[in-house]
Amino acid sequence: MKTFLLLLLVVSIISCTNYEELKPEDYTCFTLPAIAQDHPRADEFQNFVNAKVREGLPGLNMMVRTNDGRAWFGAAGKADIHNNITLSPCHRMIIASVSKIATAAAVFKLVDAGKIDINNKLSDYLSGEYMDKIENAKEVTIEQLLDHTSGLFDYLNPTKWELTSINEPYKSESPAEKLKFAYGKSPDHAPGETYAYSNTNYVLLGLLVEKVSGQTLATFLAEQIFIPLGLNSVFVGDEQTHLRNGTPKGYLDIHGNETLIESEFWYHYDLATGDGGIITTMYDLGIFIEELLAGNVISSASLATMKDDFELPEDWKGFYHERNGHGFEIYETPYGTAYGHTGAVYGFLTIAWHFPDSGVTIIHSINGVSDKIFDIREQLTDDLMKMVFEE
Amino acid sequence: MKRQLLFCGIMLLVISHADAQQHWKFGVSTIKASLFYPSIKNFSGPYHPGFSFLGERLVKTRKNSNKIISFEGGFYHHEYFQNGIFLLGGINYEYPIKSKLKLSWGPRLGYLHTFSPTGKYQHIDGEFKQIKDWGRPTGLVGLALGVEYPMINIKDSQNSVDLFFNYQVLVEGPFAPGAGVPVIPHIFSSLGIKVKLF
Repeated sequence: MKTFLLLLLVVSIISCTNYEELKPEDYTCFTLPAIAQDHPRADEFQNFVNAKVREGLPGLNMMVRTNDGRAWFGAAGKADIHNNITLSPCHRMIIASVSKIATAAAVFKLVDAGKIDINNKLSDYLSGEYMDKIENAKEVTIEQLLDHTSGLFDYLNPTKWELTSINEPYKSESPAEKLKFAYGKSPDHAPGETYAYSNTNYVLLGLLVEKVSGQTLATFLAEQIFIPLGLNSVFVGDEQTHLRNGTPKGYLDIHGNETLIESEFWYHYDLATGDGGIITTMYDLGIFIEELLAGNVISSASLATMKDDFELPEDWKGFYHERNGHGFEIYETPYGTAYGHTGAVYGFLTIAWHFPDSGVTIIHSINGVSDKIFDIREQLTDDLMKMVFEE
Repeated sequence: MKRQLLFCGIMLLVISHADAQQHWKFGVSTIKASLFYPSIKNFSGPYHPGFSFLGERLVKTRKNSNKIISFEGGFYHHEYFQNGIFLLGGINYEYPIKSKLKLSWGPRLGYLHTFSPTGKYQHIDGEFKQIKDWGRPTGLVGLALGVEYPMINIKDSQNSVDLFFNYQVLVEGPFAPGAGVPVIPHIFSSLGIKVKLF
């Protein structure tokens, strides 16, 4: 009897594993321009990426434009550790909150078309249960959503959200469903009073774009921004599409002991709304941010508003993030001001910065999250800036 | 190690207490595991399957209630997140009501050994590699609510095959104290049968 029970347990554990046996061709690879190898510092950058992965990253995907205007992109590490699949620059990474730049750009596209005034209240455009049940939603302006001064409760904060996303892996949530996690919660502050980063703001902005344009956020972004820029790898998640298909696996140190597990069951929730729904190659992400900041996506007046900034409260400052714009985070680095954003989900960490004064772009994405990986990411960014600016 | 010793000590106490009494019941159940706090979602959410074997010993009979020592061991598979082997011990306070139905409640204490269904990976010699997953020991504490009904009476005896439903609200810990998540909740909804064997 004892042997039978023991055998039953062993068989149960072995049969209840969820390893996906995948091949390299199962990971979507996009054609990139053959420019990376031509960069005079190509070997130096590739050695840098290799070294950083050796320090303790699952995989690192990177794009750099040096101040001579030449771009390099490369990768190292694994897209899938279990199946021993090498990460490539042609793979798309999950950029999480870096997507907020695109959502803001979509809002300003509609501003340019005369369909949105950012000084208006959100309630001038949207109605529905979430407007009634999210405290202060009817009071906030579009501008306060864009610059995170709305004070609206961040739906990502409650433990209930995290438990739901673990308990119901791969369940699709509409923006309205996500916003339910903010129902009845006290706002951080009164609208316009101060800054408090909240993902709720950008879920609502995504809904605003959809309402005013009459298209899904994904379609609007594709037709109005990404296709005109020729960015074929950029994909905006929706409720029907699981971004895990063909995307490198993300890894998370769930127990805080520097042992990673595959975590895509946890981050899929972030992937179908305006607060973080984009996957892309690092090269296409770089082109998008550069073209946006060059004034080739929205009008110069709208770009000026996007960049218009204010100093963050002390408790929100960190890793050069000193100021905030309307869709851009603004980083005061030793090498000048960078515009961009950082992104984090339970499996991917991304930084996307462009330095307009020097023309330098630094983009990198790591498919792992742990305390040590956070530290490596910061050192990596410092080392990369030093390398690019102090050649 | 301290945790394991504490658990073994508690189990020994429970077993020695139970041995002094009579009326063993044994059962088997299927489990719907839910990593959530008590909610209607425990029933409507996705099916994370499991099973358990249990033993019960009647230790005290009062006019309107029974005191029962309960042991349970089993397994659950929470897709992508966790496979768990658990051992639970506890006391049930059972209240027979009309129509032979019995309601019960009682505290639970136990041990949980969890495995990652998608593997574990560590940075070794400059790259991440899959490592052998020997599992992770944690503790369980919680409360069980139950309902039991004699489904089939066994001929020429006072015994019966009882259908039961248990709803156990448990807390697993330590989970990830370093990451600010010291404990996580589990709900085990079990449906099974018990039979008095001797």
